[in-house]
Formats: sequence, structure tokens, C-alpha cells
Amino acid sequence: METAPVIACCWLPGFALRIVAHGAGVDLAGPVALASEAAAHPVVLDCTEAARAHGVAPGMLVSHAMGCCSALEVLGCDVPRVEQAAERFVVRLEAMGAAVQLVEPGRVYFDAAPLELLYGGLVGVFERVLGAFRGGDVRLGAGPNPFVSWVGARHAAPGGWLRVEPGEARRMLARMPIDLLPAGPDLVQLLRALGLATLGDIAALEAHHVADRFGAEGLVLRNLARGDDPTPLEPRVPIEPVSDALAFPEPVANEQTLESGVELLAQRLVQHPRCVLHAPRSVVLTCVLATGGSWQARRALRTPTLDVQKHVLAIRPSLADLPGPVERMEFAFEQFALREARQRTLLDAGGSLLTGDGGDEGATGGGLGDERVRRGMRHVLETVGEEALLQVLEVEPWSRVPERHAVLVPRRVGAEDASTDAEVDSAAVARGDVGRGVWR
Amino acid sequence: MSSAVRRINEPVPAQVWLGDDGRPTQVTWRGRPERVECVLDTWYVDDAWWAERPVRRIYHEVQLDSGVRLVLSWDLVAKRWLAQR
Repeated sequence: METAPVIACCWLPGFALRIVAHGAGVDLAGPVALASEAAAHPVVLDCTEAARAHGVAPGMLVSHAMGCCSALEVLGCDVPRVEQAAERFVVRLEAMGAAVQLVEPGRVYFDAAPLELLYGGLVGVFERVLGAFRGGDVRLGAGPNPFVSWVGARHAAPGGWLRVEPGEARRMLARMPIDLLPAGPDLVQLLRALGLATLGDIAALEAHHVADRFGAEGLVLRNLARGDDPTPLEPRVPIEPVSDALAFPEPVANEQTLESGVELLAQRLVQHPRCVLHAPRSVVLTCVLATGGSWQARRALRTPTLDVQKHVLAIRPSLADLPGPVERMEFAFEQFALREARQRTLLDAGGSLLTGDGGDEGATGGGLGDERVRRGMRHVLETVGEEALLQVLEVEPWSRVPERHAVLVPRRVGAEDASTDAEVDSAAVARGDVGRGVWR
Repeated sequence: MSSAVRRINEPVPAQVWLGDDGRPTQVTWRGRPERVECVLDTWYVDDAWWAERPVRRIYHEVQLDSGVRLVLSWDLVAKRWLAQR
């Protein structure tokens, strides 16, 4: 029998601020604010209680926040560090067997019901989760749907859990402020101006009145206020990361050394079992800087490849943008695709048979099937006609116009065969004359 | 000689859906709608303006959910979407 889902929300308040402050060695007891990355007009993303006491609030321009509190310590948002920490947060839950949906760094949802048998009931699941984040101030809410569990997590004690039974959801939500609704500040302000202060006030409204005034968005908010959230969970499929790291004994700023480091890591990664059948479509380099921050470059490859030199080539231009010496670097493969069943060259320019080794480059295989291939080609020519045997000739493989990469030209057979004498005028290809008889 | 020289991988008209950011999210490829998993690269080409068939296109190299990689292009001359491998 299928059991009803118990949606759990695991939440660590101020996640990004905590992670960045920890990395910078800053004490969160004082007035501290986390600023956005925007170079021109950074805004406050989050701040400590001490900063709030001075009037600092999220959304405020950093310049204004500094005006409110002269002792305010402003930290730049170290996005790579926060993303890595968020990943560890999710992985810790996945290690317990949970199918996790990441909503934002530090807030995840999962269905706790399937874990009941594993940990001896729901209480066992909750305690196990909180035990995994001991000392982290994590809160856990559980309810019949994501919204109720999120509200539960917000009202749970630090390091504690709060479960809302399905029949209790509406009553519990009735006293909550409307700020909890996922609505923009303008709409919340408007609702307040209309005298709607709690979720209970909104839940009590007639549906058609809400629809008349606020449309579809209003109806969604009314349903949430009544404890009805039909949003299904969309847990991610856990993927084993293909990454490796290198720590330098002393901070390194030399690009050549860093490039060698990337090459070394790429050589290790292509040995990963995942790379037997798959190749990465993008590569990511994450560096921990000697100054304490971190830096990341993500580059897409033109084709999925295990060619280490191509990985290095993709990352090399980014190394010039590194803001400072590097203490530790991590190189990762992402977005895997099946290693392409790319058609390889059958014959070399001299007409010898090439045998592919399955790798990125073909290898000359000697004369072992040469004669048979030649015989087959002659047979095709004699039975079908001269234009039946064609070969792909690369014309402008570097072109950003894909149809100019190659053309089909007739293939002749025999010792005099030198197909590359078919010099196709690349300008003719550009003009679109190929196929209309222009070549030399 | 050789009228046998043929172009390959010519772009074909395609139906493309765009997201809020103006990037392709879905494409009809070989008669089937397919979701774009990710956009790998985007570039602009303005070439052969002197020729009979100038090339003025915005290209997006995409990976479909099925694993197929396509190059989609918005032809600024003909005002239509094209697709090729």
C-alpha cells in the first residue's frame, strides 16, 4: 500500500552568509552583511541580527547600509563557495537515502515517508537528519505539502523539528503573517493595505472575490493560505561528481604552473569509470584563492571529448582572469554525453585503410583490409556509376558556418588516387557555388 | 568538371520555441518536438554579404534531451529558424 507523503523541509537560515563568513573568518555576532556581486550598485542579500538592529535590511543598497551602521562589515558573495556548500548539504541528505529537491542554498525538500522503515518511524528520520547537521542550527519542518513544511521549518526551534498534521495545516497557518507567501513585496504591501494581515484572513476570502481582484496568482496564494499546495516534489537524480583536486604547498599565480595542474587533473579524470562510455560536454575549474575567496570558470566544449589537451585549451583563456594566487584547485567534468559515434576517416590521403581504435584519433592499421576495401569501391563504381562513390572533404573545419565545414567530392580508386587533389575553392563554398560545378 | 561536388549538412527549416531569455527551449527535429537540455554555445555570423546568399545568422549550439546535438540558427535575412547537425 502506498503511504501518504510526508514532505520535509530542511532549512539552515542565513546559509550563504554563514558560509561566506566562515570562509572569511568573520564572527557573525557583530553587524555583518552579505553583498551581491553587482559591481555598480551592490545590494544587501542578508545580514546579521546585530546589523538589523541598526536598520540594515536585505534589499538595501550597500552604500545606504553603510550609512545606517558605520561598523558594518560587508562580505562579497562568494558564489562558488556557497554552491559547493549547498551541494554538500544536499549530498549529506542523499547519503541517508533521501530523494532531495534543492530549492535554494540551505533549503531543501524531501519525502520522509519512504525513509520511515529505514530509521524506525518519522521521529527517527527527523532525528537522523538533525543529527547529520549537529551544531549547524538546522531546522526541520514536515507537513502534507512543500508550503506547509516550509512554514513548519521556519517555526521550528534551532536544531529541532516541527511536524504539521494534514488536518492541522489550515489552523496552524491561520495565525501566520502574509509575508510567508511567495509573493512580491508590492503585492504583500497591497494585501496589507486591504487589511489582510494573516494567512487566515486570505484563506477566509471567497475564491471568486480573490480571482476578480488578483487573478490566477491570487487564487494560488489563497490555496497556499488554506494549506493546499499541489506543487509536486522534483527531486534531483544524484550524480556522482567526476572531479579531482590539487593543493599547492605555496600559493601559485604562474599561469603555466596552473595550466600544468589542470592538465594533471584532467589526465586523472579521464581514467574515471564514467569516462569509459561517456565524455564531458563542459569542464569546470574552481580555485580557492590565497586571499580567502574562491573563483570559478565553466567552459563548454565544442564536442564531448576525453582529449586532455582540449580540456586545457578550453580553460586556458580563463586563467588570465584569476584575481590572485591559488592555494587549491579543483577540476570537474560536467554534463556527460555518450562518446560520439563519430564517423572516422576510412582511407588516408594515400588510399591506405585506417582502423579506428575507438579513441579520438584514428590509427593506421596497415594493409590488412586495404585490398578488400579497394575491391569493394571498384565494384560500386562499376555497378552504380562514377558519382556513386563520394568522400567527405574538409574545407573549412574552423568555420562558424557549419555547412562550410566539409563537402562531398567524388572518390577515385587506384594507385593514382589522391583525393586531396580535389582542391575545393573555399571561397566558392562561402559564395554558395559548390554544388553548381565551381571548383578547381 | 565535377558537378558532383555536393554540399552536406545544409540547414533545414525548423520550428523553435524560445525561453524568456531568448534562448531555444524546444525544437521540432525530424518531426518530433524535443526539449533543449542546454545551450552549449551562441555566436553571430555576418558573412558573404557580397554574395547572392549572404549569411546573417545568430547560432545556438544545443544539446537535446535525447542526447542529439544540433546547431539552431535564426536567419536574419529570411527571418526563419534553421537547424543542422
